[in-house]
Amino acid sequence: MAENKFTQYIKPPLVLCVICFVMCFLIVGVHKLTYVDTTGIITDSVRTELDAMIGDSSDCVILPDFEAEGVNSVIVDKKKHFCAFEITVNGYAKDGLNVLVGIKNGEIIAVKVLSCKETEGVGTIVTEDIYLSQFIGIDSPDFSADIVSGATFSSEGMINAISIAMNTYNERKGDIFSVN
Amino acid sequence: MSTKPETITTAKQDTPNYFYEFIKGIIKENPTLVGLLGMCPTLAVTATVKGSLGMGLSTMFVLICSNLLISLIKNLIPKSVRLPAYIVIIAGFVTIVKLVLARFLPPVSELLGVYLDLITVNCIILGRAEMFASKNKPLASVLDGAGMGLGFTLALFIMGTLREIIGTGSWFGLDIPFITSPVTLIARPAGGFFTLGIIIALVGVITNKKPKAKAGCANCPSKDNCPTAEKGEDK
Repeated sequence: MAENKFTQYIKPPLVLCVICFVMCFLIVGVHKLTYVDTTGIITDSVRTELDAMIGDSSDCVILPDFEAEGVNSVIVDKKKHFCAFEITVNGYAKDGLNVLVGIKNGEIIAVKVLSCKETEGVGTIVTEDIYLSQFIGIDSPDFSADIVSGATFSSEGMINAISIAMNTYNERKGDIFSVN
Repeated sequence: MSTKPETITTAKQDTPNYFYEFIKGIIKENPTLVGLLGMCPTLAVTATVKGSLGMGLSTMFVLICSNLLISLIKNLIPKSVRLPAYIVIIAGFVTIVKLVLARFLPPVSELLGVYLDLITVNCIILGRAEMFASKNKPLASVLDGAGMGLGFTLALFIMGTLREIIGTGSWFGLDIPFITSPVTLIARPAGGFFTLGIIIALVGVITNKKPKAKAGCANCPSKDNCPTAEKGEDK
């Protein structure tokens, strides 16, 4: 009788738990083998964009312990008085736009899109150079920009990213370019 | 005469024909083109050859691993929880494939996107686990998984090749010079249905699979009492 109850009520969930445990163990192992921590490191894709912005990005470093709302990381080259903000904003998709905004001498010199999850052919219009070129030369958080019809959320996302970059720059430029 | 079929069946049960277990999934019992299973990835990722191969090989890996594990522990799993157990095992292997692809082949991982996670609910894998791996020995299950996976990959590869060549005028991303005006519809979802239909029809012709005969009134036991049968209408 006791054995019957065991096979009926206890064994099934027990076996299922053991299987879940074994699979989790396997996944954790594979995750440990494949995970690469990129925090604090300038990845290849970011490096390419930085090179395109200022020519030679070998003096660029990620600012450690810099925290600002909406900004993932800040890359700075003090000699050239250049900094770049890596920002992720919501477009039509959640966290749809990952952009790099390059600011030199207080002026935006380039906006590059690192990754985009927006609708192909609609939201992706805001990642094209024709659209992004309107942001070049902006030197204050008060600016106006065009919104692409049909891609309102994506355009607003991009404008939001630019204003986060400009606001953070204006408020924290002392911290960013401080000697220490 | 009457004992002949019995001897064949017993012989088959005693020594499984490993070669047959492997080869059957490729054409004769091809899961996609004959079994019509796994239609979602077949239509969704076959716009390019790269996506097709990525999906096919990922599925094949999961199929082989899950078939092996399930056939090894088939006697330990109680009947009442066998389906959740299979799904957990399959989902585990899918996660492993996802992690490995994201690390070593990021372009393929991005191309497949959410369809990589959806391998978990691919009915070919659960189907083989339930129909085959839970009733057969590990080696036969691995070969069955490999054969079915190869059949699936082959079907996706054919679809991907046709759709990419006709739809975008390229193959594996390489431009084909003499195709000047590609039929873009074929690379779109609707084109997937067209291509799949044509391929299934061709495979049907090759394997000489006839459609089921329509049931008529001639052999119906209750035709005498049926009013429509007198008018000669099919039921």
